[in-house]
Amino acid sequence: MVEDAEAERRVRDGRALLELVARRVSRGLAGQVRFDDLIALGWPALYAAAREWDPARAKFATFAAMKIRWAIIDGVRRETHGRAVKGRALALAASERFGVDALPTTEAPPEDPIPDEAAQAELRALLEGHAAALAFGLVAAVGDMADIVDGAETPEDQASRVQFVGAVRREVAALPDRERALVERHYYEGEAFDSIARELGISKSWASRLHAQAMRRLAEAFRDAC
Amino acid sequence: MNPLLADPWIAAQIDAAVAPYRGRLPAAEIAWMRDQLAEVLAGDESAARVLRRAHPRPVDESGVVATAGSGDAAADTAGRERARRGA
Repeated sequence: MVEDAEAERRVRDGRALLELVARRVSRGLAGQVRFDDLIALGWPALYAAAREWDPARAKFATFAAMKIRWAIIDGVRRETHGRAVKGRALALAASERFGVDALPTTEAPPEDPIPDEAAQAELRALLEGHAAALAFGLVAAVGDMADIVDGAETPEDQASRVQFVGAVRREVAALPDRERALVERHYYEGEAFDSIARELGISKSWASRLHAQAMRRLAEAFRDAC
Repeated sequence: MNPLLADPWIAAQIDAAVAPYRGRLPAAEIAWMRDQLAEVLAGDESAARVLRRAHPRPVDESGVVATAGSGDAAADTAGRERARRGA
């Protein structure tokens, strides 16, 4: 239930945004989850966004799209689906969360016609971090060996995946304490990110920075192991 | 396939980012990761800005380097992609 007319209007107008976000997530999940189910997962987030939006902080569409996307991805990863769908949902969640703190929040310099070497390094780091988050998410959904066996994969693919799952677990175990706690408890044990941050005695934004740092460390470890 | 991947320079950056996972994850997952990375560059405002600053400008036969906003391939591709998706 939305309290005021303005919020109610935002919900009405936000319907198209909800469908747009659900379509994008659906593409990311290769259409393996019913579109209506994605919409159903996104509705509560749209209502919440309409109520909680602060015009001083962001455009409504930006704020609502982020909340809706997170709610849909989180819903998919929590609901019972096959390993492949769950893995992709977890991968999208990890990449999305990495994106929150992947880039500095300072004002970017004006665009220069000459390619900017610093920007190229920044782009490289950004893509490597997102790639690590995606790869990590794809295998983080694996609970035991039975989860790894996928009839659609070749024996070679399965063997590589088993090795990679082990390598990822070892790299996560080697992360600094708070980063490791965040990653293990959130992705392996399914605890809410905010409550882990609270228990660690850090703010949500600091936890997001630690998460981004953890993904950068994993990216570096995977690159070095090449 | 995400339209940004049609740009060879962007595709090369994305390929470099997924390189550590080739042979460790099935080819289908790698293809999916490439698509998602392109999606990040197309859909995230800050990432799209970094891409515009980083992308080498095309040089025509006269040796003239195009300036930002005058045919920048990355910006154009990213802009078209955002428009197509209605963002």
